[in-house]
Amino acid sequence: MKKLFLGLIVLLSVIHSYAQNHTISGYVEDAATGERLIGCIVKEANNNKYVTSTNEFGFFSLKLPKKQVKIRVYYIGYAPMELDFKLSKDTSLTIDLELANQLNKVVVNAEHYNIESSQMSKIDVPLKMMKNLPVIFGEVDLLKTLQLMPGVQSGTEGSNGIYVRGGGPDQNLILLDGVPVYNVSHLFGFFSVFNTDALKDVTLLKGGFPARYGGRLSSVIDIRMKDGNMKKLKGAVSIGLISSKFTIEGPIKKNKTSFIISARRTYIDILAKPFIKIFGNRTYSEENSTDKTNNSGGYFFYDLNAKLTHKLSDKDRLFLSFYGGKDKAYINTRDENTDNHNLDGEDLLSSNIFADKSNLFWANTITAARWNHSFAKNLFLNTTLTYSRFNFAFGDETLNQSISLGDKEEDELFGISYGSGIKDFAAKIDFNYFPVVNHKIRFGFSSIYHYFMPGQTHFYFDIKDKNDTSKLDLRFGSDTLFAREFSSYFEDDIVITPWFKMNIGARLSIFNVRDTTFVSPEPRISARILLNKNMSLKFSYAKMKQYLHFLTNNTVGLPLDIWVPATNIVVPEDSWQVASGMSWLISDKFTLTLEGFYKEMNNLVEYKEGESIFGNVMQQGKSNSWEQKVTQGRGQAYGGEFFLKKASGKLTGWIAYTLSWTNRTFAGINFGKTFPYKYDRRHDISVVALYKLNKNINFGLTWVYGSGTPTTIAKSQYFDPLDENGSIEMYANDNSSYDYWINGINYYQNRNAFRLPAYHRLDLSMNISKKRKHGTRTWSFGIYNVYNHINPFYTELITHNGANNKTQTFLRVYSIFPIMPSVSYRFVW
Amino acid sequence: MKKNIILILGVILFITACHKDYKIYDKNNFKSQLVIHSLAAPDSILRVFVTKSAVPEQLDTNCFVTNATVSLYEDDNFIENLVFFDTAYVEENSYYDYMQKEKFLTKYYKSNYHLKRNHSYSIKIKAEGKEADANFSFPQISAKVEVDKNGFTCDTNQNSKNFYIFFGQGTMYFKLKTTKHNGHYMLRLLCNAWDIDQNKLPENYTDVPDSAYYKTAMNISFIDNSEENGASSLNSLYATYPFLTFKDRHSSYVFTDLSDNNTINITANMNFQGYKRNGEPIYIKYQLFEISDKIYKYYSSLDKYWDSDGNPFVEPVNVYSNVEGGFGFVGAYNVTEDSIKIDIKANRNKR
Repeated sequence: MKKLFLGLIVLLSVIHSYAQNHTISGYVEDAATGERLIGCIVKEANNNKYVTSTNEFGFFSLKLPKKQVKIRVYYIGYAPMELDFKLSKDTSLTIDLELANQLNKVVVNAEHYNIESSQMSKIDVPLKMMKNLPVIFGEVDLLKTLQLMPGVQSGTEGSNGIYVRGGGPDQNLILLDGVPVYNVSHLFGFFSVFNTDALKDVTLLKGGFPARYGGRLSSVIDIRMKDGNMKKLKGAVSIGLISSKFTIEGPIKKNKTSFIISARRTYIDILAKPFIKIFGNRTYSEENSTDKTNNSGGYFFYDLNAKLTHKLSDKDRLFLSFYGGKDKAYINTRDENTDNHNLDGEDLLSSNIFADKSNLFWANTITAARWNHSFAKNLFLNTTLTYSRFNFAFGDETLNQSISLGDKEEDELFGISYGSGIKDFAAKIDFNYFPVVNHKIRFGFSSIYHYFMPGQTHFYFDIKDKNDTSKLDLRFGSDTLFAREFSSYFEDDIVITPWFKMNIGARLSIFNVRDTTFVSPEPRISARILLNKNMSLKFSYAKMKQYLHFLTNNTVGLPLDIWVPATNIVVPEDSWQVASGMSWLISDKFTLTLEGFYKEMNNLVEYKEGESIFGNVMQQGKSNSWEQKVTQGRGQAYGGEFFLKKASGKLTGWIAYTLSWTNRTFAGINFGKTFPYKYDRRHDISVVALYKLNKNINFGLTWVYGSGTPTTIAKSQYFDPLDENGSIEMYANDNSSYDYWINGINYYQNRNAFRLPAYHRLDLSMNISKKRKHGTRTWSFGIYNVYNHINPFYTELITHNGANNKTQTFLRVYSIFPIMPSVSYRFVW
Repeated sequence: MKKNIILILGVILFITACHKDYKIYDKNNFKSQLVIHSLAAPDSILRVFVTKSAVPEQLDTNCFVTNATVSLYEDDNFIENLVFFDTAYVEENSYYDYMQKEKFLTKYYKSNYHLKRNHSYSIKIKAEGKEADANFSFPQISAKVEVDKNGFTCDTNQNSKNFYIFFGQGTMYFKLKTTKHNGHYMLRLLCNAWDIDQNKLPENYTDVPDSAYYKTAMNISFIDNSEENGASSLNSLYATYPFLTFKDRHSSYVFTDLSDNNTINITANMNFQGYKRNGEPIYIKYQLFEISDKIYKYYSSLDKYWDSDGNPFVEPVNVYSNVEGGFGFVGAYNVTEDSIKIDIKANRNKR
């Protein structure tokens, strides 16, 4: 009875507050393009209590009291807008914001909303600024920009690996228009698959994850593609040192239907072709014989982003988006040797042909169909159907043919190929509900059907000679696997008092594979205490579950990594993270964020000692053998982050510093002793600056410093009599002989016990723009690694004579990116 | 000219920029540690190898410690100090064609005392101002092996006045039973003949190295009787859980774990070949090694070590050590063995 009474009071209070207010809802758009703006702030100018932001589809809903209201709308880089009107009924609006530089107005620091928001550990990636920063080969890269943020570590030199707060690269939920991307690398990890020309908004979450996100342990990188210009046809062309790209967008029907297509391709293979032709193809001829060699090879990647947006009505929008990308490397060789013999007046031919074809490719395909609908002023629906696929393959085929005096002597064909991949089919429904002024509710459901191909090898040969024929066609490897994942979530962003705000939520996920079902509740909570209008304290707790494992060999940068599901043998990974921090808007230009975090990860997966993706044939032949090759353990990460940002003025940029520790413990690795994670960097500093000299010229600077990453290097070496030919009783049987010699066994002390030299480099850029008749052209000049520091990519122990002519052992550190200038050209119309 | 110099300097800068050497080891201040290796069999003498560790990539024959005091203790009672033996030699034109000279390093400390089952032992080493020690004991015999042979055939060729070549095949059925939980075992099959890898028969007895004896290569296919795994055709055994498989570089060992009262039936199909002195019979010897958990760890880690050595796809692996104050491994094992005589007369000249 008491419960019923209390429930009635709550219901009445809701109805009461509902009755006292009206709702302003609608969309915020870019005035020039019609592109809907994400994270745009909409607030009652005179009262901080009434504030909201647009969701990922540009929709907002704000409940206000019935009176004369002054609505202020602002977004970073855009001129703020104020709407002054009397609110007498629920009102629908479409607000058009204009770019600030076009109007020459002062840009508003939108960090105010970050101070007020309960969300912490969030970074909005400045896409426009990113395009002016110095980059390797002049190729703007989203993930490399993310590496400059606090709490984000980079992988090996030049790679786009993202390691957030001590987590692995598989622990990042990377969403492109809401669809998970499984492989984010082009060119062996040096470039990411994201073409920045097609992107509208990128948000990184490192902790305090709202309940709507799940499935990974360490971060969410939410990338949204542009919808396409609804007003007029626009485009851009970029020509760089290794690739070129173009983007075209515009209305199919003005203000109704729009499209965007953006494509990119490298031309290393095309540039190399003439050289390969000169040096790879040769013919030697003598009196009766000819020796011909034909070699070809190359590497390229391409990607294509496309999106179609259609306004069905004021309340409905339909989106179709597509991403396709592929990397391919290939080498073909052919040697042909012919001899003409004249025997008994008859010409007889002897020849030998050797041909080898090798190729390696990996490809991503992502498609999404989305329908947005606003049912009422305070209820928004997003429905999504998605398909995501990643596959990797390599193959080699060798042909050997010999003809002796006109008779075919041998005809041999050998081939081996390997393939792995993952496919997802998913359906999602998300609701945004704004029942009362102090509640912002989100809830939704999703269902994913996973199809895993953990690695299949095909080996075959066909040998024919004069007397015999033998054939083999053998396929072995891990079986394909299917899994179903279902999840639901609920979160409420509650303003409890003007100074205290919370986001409380929970996620329930269910994962079914083979005959095993895992159920996991994941509570999430974050809170904000507003100390004054410019400063807030924040706290968060998040429990995460990951049902997908990533089998990776830490030592090489090839995309050989395999996605596999959690099973009853290799159980799901989970983590919990607590974080606290402070956001301080020092002035209109400067924002300071300080955060500390502690994270524990369980059931992490690593290959067992001595195991790799390439196991022996018999083990591969056993079903699901990858489960026997891996071991599970735990990880721990903790640290602090400092982020000082200047968002406006002639000089913009940030200073990010991270102090962190991360380690791993596996019962079967390193004899059970805890060891530092491969990317445990104690100090990580990024300084990013962009100076706008005038409206046509700007200069960019990036300086990064990272403490040396740990690696495993021998501390000493010793002799073991039980060498490769040794048998157990050789120690004890006096009659057996001892056929052995010095075989050094390295002693490593601990895994990752040695620290490589620190990583640091300075990059500079200059961008010169000029307005032309049909658009703006920009020349970008850059220098990567200005002071030519040798940053470790690969190491080995070598011996050579030292200063006193005695043999000494050195650690040789190889770098692949010394000082590198770049130039690129861009034309935008 | 100026242009060319700038170009050359540019190329040099580019190339030299690509690597840098760091001196991370100080040989003068390097503190080496004692390294002990010994594997003991019951009723046998003990041999102990004592060496010292070195700076990586600089290990050489100077690693042998020749002036150590190696003390053997049985159940904490001092037995004796072991005596140093040095029979190292260099063989020219060795078996391995690619090596002109091959060093055979046989330097060890040897006991007079024969070790016994049901005792625990320790070795204490003192040398060059350092001390190291290790303990070991023989595992309890807990496994029984029953063997059944089936249809062995053996054909021979007489190509020399002193020797004959044989080619044989047959099947053995093993039944391994144990009462111990999580024991570690190795099964090995050997033939008492010389290898014919060199594809020619020796003319004189002195041409035949002793090391070839009982190491004749055999193609053995172990077939597990469990329905789940089916037959395999490599020299490895796969069995139902609990199991561990292990194939050493000799390709002749199989490690298994057998839990309480568990039985594993193994079928071994053999193809064997070799050469023997005229008139000598052929035996197939089977050996069941029962090893301690520590030896298993040592063997497995050593195997992983060699597999990962120089492999870019695998993280480096440490070899297991049970030596206090140093590196290396000291352990003990049991072995049960028996032979089956192959009747060759009935099959002679069938080939």
